[in-house]
Order: sequence, then structure tokens, then C-alpha cells
Amino acid sequence: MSVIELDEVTKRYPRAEGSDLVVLKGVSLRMVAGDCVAVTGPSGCGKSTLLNIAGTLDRPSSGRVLLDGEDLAAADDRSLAGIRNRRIGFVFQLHHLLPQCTALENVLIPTLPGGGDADAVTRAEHLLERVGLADRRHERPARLSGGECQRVAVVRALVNEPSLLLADEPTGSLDSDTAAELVNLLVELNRDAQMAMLVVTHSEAVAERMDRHYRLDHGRLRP
Amino acid sequence: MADFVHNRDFSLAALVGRGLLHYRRTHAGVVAGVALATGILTGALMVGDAVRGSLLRRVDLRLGDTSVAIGSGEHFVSSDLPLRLKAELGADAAGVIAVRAVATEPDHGLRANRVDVYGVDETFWTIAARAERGPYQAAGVVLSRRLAEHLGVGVGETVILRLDRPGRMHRDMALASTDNASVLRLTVQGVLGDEEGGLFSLRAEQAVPMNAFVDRAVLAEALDLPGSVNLLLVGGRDLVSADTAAGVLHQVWRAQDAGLSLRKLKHDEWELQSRRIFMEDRVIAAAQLALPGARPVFTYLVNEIRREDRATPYSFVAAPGAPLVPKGMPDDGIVLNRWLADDLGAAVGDEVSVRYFVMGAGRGLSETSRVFRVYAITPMAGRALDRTLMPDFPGLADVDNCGDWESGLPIDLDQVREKDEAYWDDFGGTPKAFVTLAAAQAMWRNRYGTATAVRVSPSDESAETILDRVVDRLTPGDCGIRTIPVREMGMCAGREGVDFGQLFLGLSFFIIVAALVLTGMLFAFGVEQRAAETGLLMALGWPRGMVWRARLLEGACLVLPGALLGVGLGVAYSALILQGLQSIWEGAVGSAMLGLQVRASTLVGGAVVGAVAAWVAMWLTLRRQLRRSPVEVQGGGVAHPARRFAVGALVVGACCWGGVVLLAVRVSPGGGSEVAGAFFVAGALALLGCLAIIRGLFGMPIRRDRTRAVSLVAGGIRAVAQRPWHALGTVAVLAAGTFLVIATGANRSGAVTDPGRSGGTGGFTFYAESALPLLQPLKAPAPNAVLSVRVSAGDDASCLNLNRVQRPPVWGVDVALLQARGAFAFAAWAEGTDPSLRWDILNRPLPDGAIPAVADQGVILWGLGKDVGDELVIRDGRGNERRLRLVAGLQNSVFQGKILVSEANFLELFPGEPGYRAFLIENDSPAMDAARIELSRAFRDVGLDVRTAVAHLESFSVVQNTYLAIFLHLGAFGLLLGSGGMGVLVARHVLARRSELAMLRAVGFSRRAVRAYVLAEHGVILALGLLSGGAAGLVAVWPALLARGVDISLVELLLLVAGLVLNGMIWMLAAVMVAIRGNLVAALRRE
Repeated sequence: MSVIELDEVTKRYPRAEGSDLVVLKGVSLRMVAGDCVAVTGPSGCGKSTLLNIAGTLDRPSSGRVLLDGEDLAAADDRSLAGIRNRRIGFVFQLHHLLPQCTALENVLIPTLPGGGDADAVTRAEHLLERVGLADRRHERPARLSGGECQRVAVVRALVNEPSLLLADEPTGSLDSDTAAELVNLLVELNRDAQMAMLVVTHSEAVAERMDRHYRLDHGRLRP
Repeated sequence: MADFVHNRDFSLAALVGRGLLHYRRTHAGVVAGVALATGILTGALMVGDAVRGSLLRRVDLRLGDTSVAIGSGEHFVSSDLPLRLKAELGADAAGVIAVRAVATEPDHGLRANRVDVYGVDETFWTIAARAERGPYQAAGVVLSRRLAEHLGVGVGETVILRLDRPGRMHRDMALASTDNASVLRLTVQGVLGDEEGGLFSLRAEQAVPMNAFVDRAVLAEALDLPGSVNLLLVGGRDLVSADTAAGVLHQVWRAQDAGLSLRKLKHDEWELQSRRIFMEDRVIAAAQLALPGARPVFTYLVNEIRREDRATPYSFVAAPGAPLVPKGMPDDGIVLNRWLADDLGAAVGDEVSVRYFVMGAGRGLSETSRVFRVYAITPMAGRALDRTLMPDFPGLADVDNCGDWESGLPIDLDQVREKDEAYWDDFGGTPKAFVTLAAAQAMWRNRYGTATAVRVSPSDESAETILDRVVDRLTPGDCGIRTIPVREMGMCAGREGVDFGQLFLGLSFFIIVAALVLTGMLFAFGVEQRAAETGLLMALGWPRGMVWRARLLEGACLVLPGALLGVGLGVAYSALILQGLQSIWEGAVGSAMLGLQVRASTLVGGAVVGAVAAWVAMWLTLRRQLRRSPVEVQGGGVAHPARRFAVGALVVGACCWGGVVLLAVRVSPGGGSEVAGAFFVAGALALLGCLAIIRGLFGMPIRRDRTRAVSLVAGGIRAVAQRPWHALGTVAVLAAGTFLVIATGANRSGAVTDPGRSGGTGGFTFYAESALPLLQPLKAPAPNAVLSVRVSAGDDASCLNLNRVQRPPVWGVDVALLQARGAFAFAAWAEGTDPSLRWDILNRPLPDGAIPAVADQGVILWGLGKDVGDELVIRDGRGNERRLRLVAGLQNSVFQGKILVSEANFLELFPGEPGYRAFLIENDSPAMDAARIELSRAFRDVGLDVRTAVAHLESFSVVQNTYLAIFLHLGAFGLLLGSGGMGVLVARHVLARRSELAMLRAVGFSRRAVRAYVLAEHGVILALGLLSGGAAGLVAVWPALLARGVDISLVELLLLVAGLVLNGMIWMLAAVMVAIRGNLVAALRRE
């Protein structure tokens, strides 16, 4: 069964002049567990919009989004928040770590809505160790490098063991070496956890590392 | 903070704790804002506590342990009544003589009018004083501190007291003597402090009384009233109720307390007499009920009895009933004694006319006559020679010769012939003629009674038993003895007095709102600073409710210390306000002695309300952010401009201004508090309109004009518009502050000018009050030039008294005079009354028996808490409840604090209140001050206190102006706060855009240019705030500008505005300097 399926998704934004700006035009995409998909395209082509819709942060103007076979059209904000929390992991271009929390606490933040299950800390520590930050887990973001911060953000995305990982320009703020390391890490983690991973990027190098690579061109997804 | 190491405990609370610590600098501002709002709120409530506490404490100082006062005014009771009362009541009771006096210091002639003199014994001090006083000799006088200071006298010095001596008869009776003053020259034995009884007073006012305490026996002797008192104080504080005291009084009072006595006559008859000569119907009825066969007797001095050309002057005529007046004699029949028949040459069947005085209002007399037909002639023997039929008229009954007569009547002694002297020598005041009781009462009944004695048939009972039977059927109230729950009324007056808590909450409202806006803004900055964090939490699947909880929990953690800090600030703020109320704002509280009162309930209440208000401000701020989608929030928290909302705001703004125009057109500018009030509302509406328009403009989408170059300033304005609520918050605080400063500053009442007859002075020049009553109206040099007013005792109901008035003073006015003058203006009329009646309304009887009354509209609304048409229940001179209907309200006048009724109704309500004590005098003398001094000097014996009517009217404006001054000061403080808020806003904006400014520096703009850019950008906010506040302020003061344009200095107004601009500029400059200090480019590089 597909982890996520976008079926003829369209997204329009109203403009002051009256006419709508159509960002996505009938985009369809299907991903199963273990899939690694990259979407590239020029700035403003709608990559982030696509990712936001896939991640339930935004709703399509038309078309369907199915997660694990469930149509999300009828879900309310609260249900969507629950879905995001338990079944989707996000990695953003900027790590968005909370400066007041340690690395480990940042990782644990997605576990708080679930009441902080007993295994969360163990899982977080294990993941931090997995990304090479076991010794840095009690450091605050200000004392971590950009790459380390982004690795913490990746662990934060994985701590609730999602079935779908969405990454929006995950290497956008990193130097090439660090970016390469991070991509390797993402691919490895995806392979280990058998998630579906959708990466939106400008980087051809990053895209090449994924199993499938699509281009978003004038609102349409092309292989 | 402990690291959540090992993070097994990491929870929402821990995350909140982390946030609190990390963002402590931002939070400090929020805590300060909450503390400020709470502090001002708590402080205002504490001011209320302090004033209320001061009024209640004053009750203790005024009354000591007194629970109930039993006052009898001019009616004196036996001095052993307190002992009887104490024995039955089980509480201390003191007998006091209370009279008014004028006190003079003989060496320098310093004078104090309206001094309360108390004749007291030791029991008085145990009840009325809270502290021990020094030993004083009975021969001296002890003064209250205020009186001693007023007269400038100390211990050992001499004071002359000119006492208002109550008469045996009602002093308004023409028969009573006009000599109603006694003089005491006494040495000051001591000066009493506040705790020692110096503040003793039965009036629920905060004015400090001028008291003189004299030994009761000394005072009784001076007043020629030995063994008598006219005021009883019952101790026991709260333990004795007025009902209990009244019940016991009814049990223990005796005939002598009712002024009744019994004497045995010839033929074993008894005669019941009143000390006041005339007997009221209720006493006569009681006697007739108690003593079967009792019959009233009425004897009166007539001026002349004439038959044709023969006349006999000054004779007593009696209505003694049978047998002297034969049964069946018609009411126009008269029985002459032989002496008179011979003198007139009259025989049975002849017509004789009797000429006599009829008592009018006051001591007014008019002479009239009635014709009788001689029914019989009685020989000079037996009952016809009953000298006891003549009452003990003072000045008549106690003299040997007619030539020594000294009554208040205008007797022409030249008419007294030798044979009349001989009759007096032989028969004294034995009546010469006899009429029926009905005829006597028709001729001579007056407001003091309908008989001069009641005669009782022979009885075996003792005099005491007979008297007891009569007294049993009377109540003390029937004789003018009133039981007043002074403590209960005092406490009630204090508790329900002017609520300074509410007042200062109202006056500080603007500052509280400013502080809350500031708190909200600071919190909003924090929230926006962390918008990315909030967006992240939402993106990570935190339910909105959980984000809410986290943020509000954090807010609560700021609110709590803020509120606690605020409580401390509140104490300091209230201390500051109290200091103000006892110095620069003294006019608002007069002589109330204020002390800081710290009540746990107030502190908790203030903290809770402050905290909740701040929390709500935070909630509103959060609401705006959390309504957006996670992507929007994460993107920086700036909402897309909502065109519809902006258009709505513009429409609201236009409607508000429409309302302003409508109000301005409907209310013609000119004067009057209503007009000022309407324009104040219009001003507030204008302010609201301005703010709505500004909000609308901020929210309108920016028009992209490709042909126009983008300037730095335009960019800055757009940046301001990006955070419309922040900008609007600052603009609103600045505008409201400006509005209030201008509106209150210009609306302060200036001097009362050109009062005119329809003004608050009624066209009168002087306002005067006397300590001792004038028994005749003051003589007027021209028709209707002097209004003499009858005054009943009561608590001042004007704005000068902070207590809720329990017994407003009732004044009896000459309706015809006021009507003829067209004096004063009416502000409101009760439904169904005819405004064209004006003062005549007071003469119109009301169908339900209520008595028509008018008062100042302000007093009706605020002093009494009523409205025109409402009823006011008062106790009349006999202690009975009477209903006054407030038929109309006067515009602000010299009568503030008084309830006005017609003189006729006054006399019916308070028959025991003698003479006139208040006067309004018109005087066209150019040397007004000299005339005032002359008038005061001419009537110094009665302690006439004369001031100009304008000054009297202005004394009421002091309170209003003080309130406005407080408002002005607090408004200025709020404005300062608003400017501070703007400083914070500027600093926050600049800090948030340091990288933008650094970019400007990097591309070659000088630091000065960058500063100018930021100043220009935020100058828009300052300008908008000041302009909208100024425009609204001008609307509010428009009538004042038109009415007294010259009073408001344009320069003053310009200076005020310049001050406001300067203040804003300073804050803004300071904020910019702070925000762009350091190396901006380095900051950019770091980013």
C-alpha cells in the first residue's frame, strides 16, 4: 500500500488583480515505504507548496491527498496535527531548533503531544548516537555547528518513527561536504526505517542520491 | 535552571521554564507592564479604602462610643432623664445642652461663627471621647483644636461665647421675647485633640467642627434653663439600637420631659399646662383620652374690645367652657364680665368687636377683628375672677404693672388707661370676656397649638398619676424628641460615601489601559519574535490547543510575578495619590484625614484583576497569531492584509465622525454642563473614528505605482503598516493621552462670570449664613432683593461632603420672591410637571400628599442617588417620616447640597426650627467688599458669615476642578507611559530590522541618514497619535472655546501640544539611539 498518494492535486492562490495564481496543476505522486523521491525545480515553482500539501500543512484547492490510504480531505485541523505528529517527519531548510533547549530536548519536542512515551528518550538518544551526536546531546543549538543542528533536526523528524519524511531543502544552508554527509545520513536512515522520503531541493547532487527524481515545471510534475 | 538531563522529565512545563529563562529580557518588559497595570489598579482601590476608612474612623472620632442621640432641639427635657434611661437601658447615657454660638477672642476681635457649644458633664466624656483628657475646671471652657486655632487662643486666654438661647416659647411666636442671646465670658482650660472629643459632632460630614465644651451647670444657668438638657447621648457603640433606645425612652420619660405640668385650681380642678404655653392637638387629644371630661381652654390677649365708640385696650379673652360660657351659647356669642360691660356700656344683645393679632409666617402679625353679640354679663365674682385662666405668657404674667409688659407683641402702652392699670392691680390677667372654644380656636389657633391649657375635673388621683396617664398616650416624637441612630447613620454614610476607589479607577482607567496595551505589545513582540518557534511546533503536529497552553502558561508565569510586584507598586501608588489628595488635590476631599490602609482583600482583588486583565491582553495577542496556518506563522507571523477588515474599519471611522457631526449640530454650543458632556462624548467618538480610520489605512493593500520611486520614508511607513496592531496600539495610547490632556485642561471651570438672575447665583450678590437665627426676615432695600431662608439641621449634601448623606438639610424658601425674580434655572422636571410653573411648583400640593421639593440636579443624581420625580423620605421635626417629591432639578446653584421646599411647608415640617439662618442678598454697591464687611459687622451678634454668592458657587467648582486636575495629571502620566510605549515600539522595530539598517549602512548611507530614516518612519506614529488625539480634543473643548474663548490661552494650548510633541520625540530619539548603537555592519556580517 502506498504511504502517500497525491492524486491530481491543484493549488491556486487568489491575486489582488482578480485572477488566480495556479501553482500546482493536477500533480499526482505515489510513494511506498522505502521510496526516496526528490523534486527539483526553479525558485517559486511550487516545490514547498507541494511539500506543505503532502505534509498536511496546507490543503489542496482540488485533488486528493491520501496517507496510508486515508483521504485527508475530511480531516479537521486537530486530526491533521495528530497525523503530522505521529506519521510525518519534517526537515526544513533552516533547522528551527529552539535555542532554549538542548539537542536532546529539541529532539523530544514532537513527543510531548503524545504525553512523552516512556521509550521516547531512549529512542532519541539512540538516534542521536546514530547521527554521531551522542556526546553533544546536552548542548544548546548555539554551541552546535550548522551541520550538527541540521542533524538534530533530522533526528527530531524521526523521533516519532514516521512513515513519511519530508525534507524541504535540507542542505540549503550547509556547505557541500556537510550537505553530502547529511544526504548520506538521510538515505541511510530511510533505508533502515523503511519510510517514504520526499526531498525538495535545488541541488542536483542531492536529487541524484534519491531513487526517483521529478522536476516541477509550470505546476506539473515531470520525471 | 537544572538541565533536564537525562531529560526523562522533559515536559511542557519544562519547555515553558526553558522559554522563560531564555527570553527573560523580553519577559522583563511584560512583567513590568503587568506590574504597572496591577499597581495602578490596586493603588486606586486602596485609595478608595483609605477614604472609606478615613470616613469610618471619623465616625469613631466624631461619636466616640455614642450609639444613639436623642435630640430635642429647642424642647428641653429634664437632666435626670439620662439617669432613668441608663438604669433601664444598661448603657451609659449623658445629658448635654447643645446650642449654637458665636465665639469671639476679645483682644483682637477674632470671631468664629457657627460654633457648637456643648454643656457637658463627666458622663459625656466617657461616651464621646476616645482618649483621656486633662483635668479641667468647671468654670472654664475647653475648645476643639480647630476653634482654638481659628480664634488664635490658648490655655488661660479668654473667649466670649454669644449663645443662641432657646426660648420657653417657640421663638417664631410674636408673643415670645426677641432677646434670645446669652453671653458667657470664659477662660480656656484646654484644647482638645481629635481623640479627646475635639471632633465631636452629630453631623455626618468630614468638615472639622468648631466645638466649645462648657460645664453643663454653667451653661444651663447662662441659658436660664436649670436642670434641663436638649441632647442625650447613649453609649454602647454598636450594642444599642435606635429602636431599643426609643422603646426605653418611651418607658422612662415623664411629663416634665414632655414639658407638661399639672396644677391644682380652685374647686379641686386640675389644669394641664405646657411649658411652651400653646398645646398641640395631639397633646390635647392624649389628655382627653386619658382623662375623661378634660376640656381644652384657650386664652389670648386681644388688642381691643369695642362697642361703638367705646373701647377697652389689651384684655385677655378666654374660652374656658361651662359654666362661664353657658351651654348653648352660639359661636358668635360673648360673655362679658361686669367690669368690661360697664367700661363699654354694653348690655346683653349688644354687638361688640374684638380686635386681635393673627400670627403669620415667622413672627409676622396681622391685626384682624371679629364681631360678637353679648350673650351674658357675668358678675365680678366666683369663676369669673379666675386669674389662672391667663397663661404664663413671659413678660406679661410675671409683671406687676401694665407698663412693665415685655412681650414680643407691638403693644401701644399709651392706650393703657389708669382704669386698666387698676384692673391689672385688682384682677391681674383675669379674662374680661369669654367665648366658645370653637370661636377661640377659629380666631387664634396657630401652628404651635389650639389651646393654652387643658382643665380636668376633680379627681382623687395624684398629680403624678394624672400626668402619667397623659404621657402614656404620647410619644416622645409628639413633643419633638427624636431618636437618631447616629452611629449607624454615620457608618452607613461612610460606607456608602463617595467611592474614591471607583473614582480613581475611572480616573486611572486610561493609565491602566495604556499599561495593558503596553503589556500586550511587549508580549506580542515576544510572541512574534518566536513566531518561527510557534510555527515549528504547529508543523511538528502540536495541536493548536497545546501551543495555546504552552504560551499562556508562559504568560501566566509572567503575570503572577508581575501582579505580585504590582501589589507592591499599588501600595506606593496609593501612598502617592493620598499625598496628592492631602496637598495639590486637597479640594477633592476637603478636610478628610486620610491614612494608608492595607487590606488583604484589596491587595488580592487588585492582583487578581490586574493579572486577569494582563492575561486577557496576552490572550488577545496570541489569538491573532494562532488563528493563522502553521506555514504563515512560521513565515514570520505577518498576516496578509485583510482588505475587508480594513474597509470595515474605514466605515466604522466614517460612522464615528458622522456621529460627531450629528452631535455637534444637535447640541448648540454655548454653555452648560450638558453641552460640555455631549461634546466630550463627541470628542471620544472622534478619537475612536480617527483610530478606526488609521487602522483601516494600515490594512489597505499597498498600491504598486511603478512610476514612483520608492523612498526610504515610504518604505518605513510600509514597515509600520506591516504590524498594524502594534502601530495602532501606540497611536491609540498617544492619542488618548493627548485627547485627555487637552479636553480636561480646557474643560476646567474658570471663574464664574456674569451670573445673572438665571445663573447659579440667582443674581444675588452675597450669600450669608448665620450662627444664631434671625427671627425676622432680613430687611430688603428693594423689593425681592433679599431672600431669607429657614434652615433645618442636616448633613451637607453638596459635593463638599464625601459621606453618603443620610439627613439632607431642608431649606424653606420664599417661593413668591424667587418667582418674581425669575431667579435660577431649572435643569430637569419630573414627568407630568409643568415647567412654566417654575418656583410655583413648590406651592402646588401633590395629590398623594407628598411635599414638593427641588434641589440641584447634581445633588439629586450624585449626592442623593436619585432622579427627578423620585421621593425622598426625611424625618420631620417630630421625628415622623415625611415624603418629599423631587419635582425639579436646578442647574448648578448656590443651593447645592440643600433640599428646597416652600416656607409654608417648611414650617409645617419643622415647626420647632426658629427664624432664618441663610440669606441671599442683592447689592448693587460698587464697593462690594466694603458692603460685605459692613453687612458682616452689622450682624456680628448672630454670627453672620457673608461671602459673595459667586465665591460660594465657586467653592463647589473646586471639587470638580480638582477631579479634572487629577484626571489631567493622571492623563499626562498615561501619556508619558504611551510615549514610553512608543519608545519600546521603536526600539523593538529597529532591533528587529538591524540587518536592514546594516544593509543601508553597507550600501553607503551615513549613520545620521539611517537615524533620520528611522525617526521619520516612526514620526508617522507620533504624528498620527498627536493629530488624532488633538483633533478629538478640540472637538471636546469646542463649547468651552466658544463660551470662554479668552479664558483658554492659545499660547498655553500650543505649549501643551509642543510639550506633547517634544515628549514623544525624546522617547523616540532615545529608543533609536539605543537600538542602532554599535556596529551595524558587523551585526549583519554575523548574521
